[in-house]
Amino acid sequence: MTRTGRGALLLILLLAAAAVSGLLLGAANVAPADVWRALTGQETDPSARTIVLSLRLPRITAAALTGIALTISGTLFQALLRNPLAEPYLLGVSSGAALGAVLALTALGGVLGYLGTVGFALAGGLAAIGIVFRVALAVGRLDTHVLILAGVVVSAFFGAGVMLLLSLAEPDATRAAVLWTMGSLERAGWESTVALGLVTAAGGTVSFALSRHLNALALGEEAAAYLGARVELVRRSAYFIASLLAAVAVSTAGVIGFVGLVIPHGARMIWGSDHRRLLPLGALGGAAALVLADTVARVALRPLELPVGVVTALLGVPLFLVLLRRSYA
Amino acid sequence: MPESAGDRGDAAAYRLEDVTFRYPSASAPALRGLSLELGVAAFTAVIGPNGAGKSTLVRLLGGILEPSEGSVHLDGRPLVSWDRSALARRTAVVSQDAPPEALRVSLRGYVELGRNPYVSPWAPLAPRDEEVIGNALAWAGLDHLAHRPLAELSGGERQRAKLARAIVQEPGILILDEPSAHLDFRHALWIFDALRERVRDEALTVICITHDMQLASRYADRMILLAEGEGVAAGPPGEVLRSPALASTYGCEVRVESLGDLGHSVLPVRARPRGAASGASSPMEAP
Repeated sequence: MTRTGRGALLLILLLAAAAVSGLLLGAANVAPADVWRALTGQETDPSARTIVLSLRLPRITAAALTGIALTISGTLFQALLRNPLAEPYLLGVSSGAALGAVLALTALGGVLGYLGTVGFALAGGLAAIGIVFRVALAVGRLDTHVLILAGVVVSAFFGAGVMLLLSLAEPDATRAAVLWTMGSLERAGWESTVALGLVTAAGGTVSFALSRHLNALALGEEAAAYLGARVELVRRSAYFIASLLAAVAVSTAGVIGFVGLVIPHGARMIWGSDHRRLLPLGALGGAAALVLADTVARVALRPLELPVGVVTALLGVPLFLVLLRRSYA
Repeated sequence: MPESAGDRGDAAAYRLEDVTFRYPSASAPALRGLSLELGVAAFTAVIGPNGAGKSTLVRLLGGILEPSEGSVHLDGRPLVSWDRSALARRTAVVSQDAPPEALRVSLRGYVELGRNPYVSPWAPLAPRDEEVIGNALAWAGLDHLAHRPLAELSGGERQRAKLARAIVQEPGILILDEPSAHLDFRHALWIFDALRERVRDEALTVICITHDMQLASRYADRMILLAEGEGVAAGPPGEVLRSPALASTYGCEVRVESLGDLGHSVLPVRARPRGAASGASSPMEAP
């Protein structure tokens, strides 16, 4: 079996293990037999049924999709900028989404509910992307330096908006808003996974279609053009998809750090720079990592729940350092 | 610029008419009023001092830049009307850039990029693609290194890898920007020899920018001398190298010696002071 094949198998097993542990473990105790009966539609305790089918299963699905979206987004940014430290929130998407969500949770008092918050976060993220691209495209072609600078500045602006709202809000609302910015899949239900699933599927498909051109882009824009890539089109599409994926991920799950940085970078270290391998293997890795991190977030201090962004950072950073050391030693 | 009778090709692959190109921020144009034809199945060497516009010419022919004035035609069609991947199947470019050190790719993976204009990302490479890649690796003498990381290869091996990647594009036209720069003479000789062979056997059209006058004059059918964005001489290498324009173009007195089968050697004698009247003296010639 090839190295790639072994990697894919390992990651699928890891994802399956993470999903199973996510179904079995949680704040409430549900016997494995009840979990099985609920999943297979057999007669079982109604509360166990609700916990498994309406809480844990959608949550695992949302975690997996968020992990995939963040990983593909990070992979694209790293390819576009030819920088292994690029990450999904580079262009201010997270700050824009945070402002939207915090607005919904504080000024609007959370009356809109979870889906309202998701909608506001998505609108904020898209607004950030819109402003950044509008500025970067004003110079004619998409200029990387202008793009990054615009991202940093827009990020700072939206960040200030978040601070402003938080400083004015009631303590309860502030707490909810701060927790949101740390990332959580606590309230993710089936409704919220629909948009996430559609965008992730579409974004993943287009990214894979661009994979050979992304490979060529690693040689430089001129070299990629000589190899038949319509460079400007490839870059614009990839930047747009990467930002959109980050926006839907953040709006569903809050600001979850490190997944979009560590997983693509680690995958690149292990499997090399070919995006035809990197995108699917990274997506599997990102899904497994976030499902696992979310399970840890739920059970580590049971019944208290940790922000999943904290878990991804606490687990991801040491792992990343080990990888980095091994890879460049 | 006088068209010489020494052309080997019957038809032009590229035709440039009165091409002027100005970089957006530059005061002087990089190319001015350049007209030339590059023949099919011929080996054309382009020489000229640094800053003469040689690399700009490569980018124009490769379709990266569009002329500010004038026109570039490829196979009788305006170059701007060519689709990017169709152009990549017709013309391959070996530029000066080295592949980035950080690129984590095997030699074979790198050479495989040359198939990009032919393949879809959704399917694995067809047997025919594999065959083309295998042949190119064998041709470049790299098949035993196929699975080595590109970063571990020597400069000479990497240059041959770039050439193999271009050949994998199965181009009718190959444009090279100083392919022998930084190479020892054995590797430089191999490259010119291998290109000549493909011109003869596969009717490849080669356009090669170089500073190596000896190898260029030995292997090229035709030579073009560029200076300050203009074509100042064109024709058989011996004629171009012996023309008075050479010394004035480079601002350097030169001695040109015929080496028989091995082409000509151009030996710089003494740099002329800046601003000296150009073209006042002709190159000294050895018998």
